[in-house]
This record gives sequence, structure tokens and C-alpha cells, in this order.
Amino acid sequence: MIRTKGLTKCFNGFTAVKDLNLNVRKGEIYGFLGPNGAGKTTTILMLLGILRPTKGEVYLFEKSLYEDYFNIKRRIGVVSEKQYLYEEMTAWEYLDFFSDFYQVKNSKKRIEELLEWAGLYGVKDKKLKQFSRGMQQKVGIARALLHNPEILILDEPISGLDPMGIKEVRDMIEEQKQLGKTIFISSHLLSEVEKICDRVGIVNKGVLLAEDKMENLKMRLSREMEIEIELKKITSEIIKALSSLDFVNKVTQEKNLLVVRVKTDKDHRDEIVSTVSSHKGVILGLKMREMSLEEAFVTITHRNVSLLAGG
Amino acid sequence: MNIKERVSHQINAVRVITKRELKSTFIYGIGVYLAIFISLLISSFILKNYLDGIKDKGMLMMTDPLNYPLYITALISSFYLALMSSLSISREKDHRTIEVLFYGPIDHASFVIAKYINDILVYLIMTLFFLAYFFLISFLTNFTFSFSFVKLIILSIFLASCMISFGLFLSSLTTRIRSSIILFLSITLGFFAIQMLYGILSNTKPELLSTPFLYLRNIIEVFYRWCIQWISPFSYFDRGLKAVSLGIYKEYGISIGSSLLYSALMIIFSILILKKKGIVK
Repeated sequence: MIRTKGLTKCFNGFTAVKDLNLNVRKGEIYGFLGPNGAGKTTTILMLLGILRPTKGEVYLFEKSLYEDYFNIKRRIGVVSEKQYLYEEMTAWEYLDFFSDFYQVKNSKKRIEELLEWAGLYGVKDKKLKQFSRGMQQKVGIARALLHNPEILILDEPISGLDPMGIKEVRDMIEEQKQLGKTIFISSHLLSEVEKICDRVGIVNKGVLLAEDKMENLKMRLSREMEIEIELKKITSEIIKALSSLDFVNKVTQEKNLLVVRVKTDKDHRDEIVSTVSSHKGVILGLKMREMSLEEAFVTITHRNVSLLAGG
Repeated sequence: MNIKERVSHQINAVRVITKRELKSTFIYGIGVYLAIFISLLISSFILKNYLDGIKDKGMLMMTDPLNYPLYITALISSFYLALMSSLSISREKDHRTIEVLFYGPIDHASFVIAKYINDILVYLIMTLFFLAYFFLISFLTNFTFSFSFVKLIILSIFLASCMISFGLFLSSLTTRIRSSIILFLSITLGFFAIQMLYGILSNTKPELLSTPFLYLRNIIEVFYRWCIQWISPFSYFDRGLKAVSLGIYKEYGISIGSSLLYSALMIIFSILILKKKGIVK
């Protein structure tokens, strides 16, 4: 549904997006992750034809955007981080304007439905400048859904929202997925995206570092795993013995806990338990701590870019 | 996509944006009413002077007494519209509302044309107010409507078109409201100053001017004839007024034609610049 080929954007010698090859399949939720300034919004603006790529091509619905510009645009809905509303308008007037713009049939009914859905029907005649950030976000989402688009592009849709707002947006995304929509979400709030995305692409400094299913990506990223061992008594022999194991990278003591960093090539718990037992250690508990995507992402972008750049 | 389908999408975008802009101008804004009020107030002062003259001397030596007040009215309202046009694109860029529009089915040409059509419609609606005012004045004072008044009112639409398209052109160059205002005021005042200076120097006898002023006059004359005359929308206004007052049909036609050409070129340049510079702030 969304495909880019060698997409590149340079601004006065600075490369914001470099040779980006994306492939978002029909009906999936694709998370486009990266820290601020990674090139996510630039990519979205290129997908929408708002920014002209320096190099490369964008295909939406298997067509070049400029091949069928107006019809393609009518099949896309976009929600940005900030809504940039015509604030002198009321919620109803705003949606009415865009329903006219997208030539929505039975627009009155559709606007009513969306205002009800967003919980804004009661304030439909209130000016948008009087709306809170969350309410404005809902108006933006309603605007993006007005024409029932096949592709939904969400740029940082949950940034700045309260927990309730985040939940509502997440519910909306899942609802849209159930309706068969293809959803492209850019975000830096990884823990939120992790819960809803089918596939994820990680971008940093304009380069796509990885693109895979959530589980695979986590596996690739988590080359290290932490095992917490609760011991009755921690001795220096136990620490020494564990440190000497070839799959152990580091052993640290946190009160009565030993945190052992191990490689993720296989399950090493058996060997750890037998090593501790052979040094007369009594294990009270053992817990594996997998890196969340957020942790993994921080690792990628700030400490270990080479991990993914090398594949 | 075939051309027919494309044009139909463009027409829809122009229609919807124009509708919104008109609503915004007449329902949410007070600027247009203020411009009408100021235009008519100044016209009233001019007309009052005429009436005072009649009262003092018992007569007024003037063929079309309503023409000059109308010219001033058209000039002020066009100036207001040019200022509004110069803000229209940059305001949307500054507030980033243009980005939301461009998420949808719109292109640069439809956007600029919608802004232009809106401003022209605003001028036409303002003209209705002016006509009502001048009808009232004619009824109260016995100043008659002449054919040249009708010609001037028609011509003023084309001249307003020059001002509006010039404003749009300036607006396409900037991304902030403040820069647009500064650019518009400095350029229009610059044009106005050169035009005034040219008028003063060219009407002064050469023997009264010292050598540096003669050089200055020559330089300004060349600059005016070859550059300002064609770039400044004010000079289209002046040429038009001259054509109407002299009653030369050929000049009148040329004035309308050149205004149309000027407007078309300015709109095309605005579209190209907007495309080239992009809509992102």
C-alpha cells in the first residue's frame, strides 16, 4: 500500500532522509519509530507529496503519487502531532468544511457519527480555539476519518496526550485496523507503539536501521538479556564462578539480588542454577528480564547503532 | 487521471476554499467593514469639499464629480485587499493550516486561484456597498451618474485584480505574517515614493532643476518607464484612470487587457514560487 524506493531528502547539504526503502502492506499497522529529528515527519511529508524528494520515489496503492494525485489523496487520512486547525471555526463548521473538501456523501450524518464517536457532539458549536489539546486532537482524528480513507497516516498521534487520550487513540487505531485500514504510525513513544504495531521500522538520522515484525526485532535487538537471581546469601565465589562462564557478560550485585547479563543465543538458566548450586548458593527466585523495545531502541539510537546497521 | 477529472477536483478545491475564506472575511472578520468605512469616509470628505465649493461659488466646474471619490474608494479598498492577499498564503504557512489542506486533494494552483477568487469576490461585494453609497449620494446631491462612472467601476475590478495578484505574489515569497507585512509595506511604499518623485520631477521645468536633480530625473524616468510602470500595480491604476478621464476607448481596452495579463502573470509566478519553495514553514 505504501512503498518507497531510495527515498532521499536533502536540505542545504543536510541529509534528512537517506535512501529509504519502506514497504507497508495492506491492512497492517506499521510503526515508524525514531527519536526526534530522525526524519520521520520529513518522510511522511514526502509520502504525501508535500515535500518533493531529492531522490527516489513514492508509491501509494501501487501507483506513483503524481500519476493519480487527487484520487490518491482522497484515499488517505492524516493526523499530525499538532492539529493546525482554523481556530475561528466551530467543530461542526470545521468538519463540514473538510467533508465538502473531500466530497463526502451524506456528510451531515458522517459528521454527527464522528462527533458522537469523539465525544464532542455536545460542544459541536464551540469554537476550536476554546478546545483543549486532547479535544483538538480528536477533531483532527475525526477530520482524518471523515472520508473513510484506506490508508491512515498518523504522525506522533499520542504525543502530549494524557493516559485517557492515549487509550482512546489506541482504541481508534485498533478499530480502524478491524475495518481493514492500513495504518502508518510514526512515533518516538515506543512502549505505546509496541502494543499495537504488526511491523516496525526503526529510523535514525534519516536511515532505516531495521524493519521487521515486533518479535523478530526484539530478538535481534536483545542480544543481551538480564537474569535476576534472588539468593539467600551472596558470596564472592558465586559471583566469580558466574563471571567466569563464557556466555555471561557481566554480573552485578543489587542487595540480595544478582543481576547476570547473558547472551541470548540460548536459554542459559540451567547452567546458571547449577553453577550457583555447586557453590552452595541457595536460590530463592529467578527472573528473566527481557529488554523492552523502548530499551532496545535507546540502545540502538544512542549506544549501539552498529548493532542494526550491520543487520 | 484525465484532464477533465483533474479540473473537476481543482474546481472543487477552489470552490470549498473560496467559500470558507468568504465566510471568514465577512463573518469572522471586521477588517473588510473597516476598509469600506474608511473608503467611504474619505470619499465623503471629498464630496463635502465639492458641496462646500458649490455653496461658496454657486457652481462646480467638473464633468464627473463622482469619479474621483470612486477612484479613491477603489484605491483604498484595493490596497486593503492587496494587504490581505499578501498575508493570505503566508498566514496559512505560518499557522501551518496549509499543511492540513495539502494532506487532501488540492494542488498549488487550486490553492492560489482560490485565494485570488476569494479576494476578487470580496472586492465585488465591497463594490456593491460603494454603489449603494454613490446611489444615495447621487439622490441627495443631484450629482449624476455618467457613463465614465460605469466605465471606472468596471475598470476598478481589473485594477483591484492587479493589486490582489501582486499581494498574492508577495505572500508566496514569505512564510511568516510579519515578514509579509514588512515586505508588502516596504515595496508598495517604495513604488509609491518613486511614482510620486517621478510625477514631481517630470512636471517641473528643466530650467528650475539643478544638474544633480536633472540626472536624478533622468534616472528615475528610465527606471519608471522600463521597470516600475510594469511591475507596480499602482501604475495600472493611474493609466486606467487617465484612460477613463480622457475617454479614449483604445487606452481603456489596453488598460483592461494589460491588467488581466499582469494578474495572470502574478498568479502564475505565485503558483510556481509556492511549488518551488514548498508549503512547509
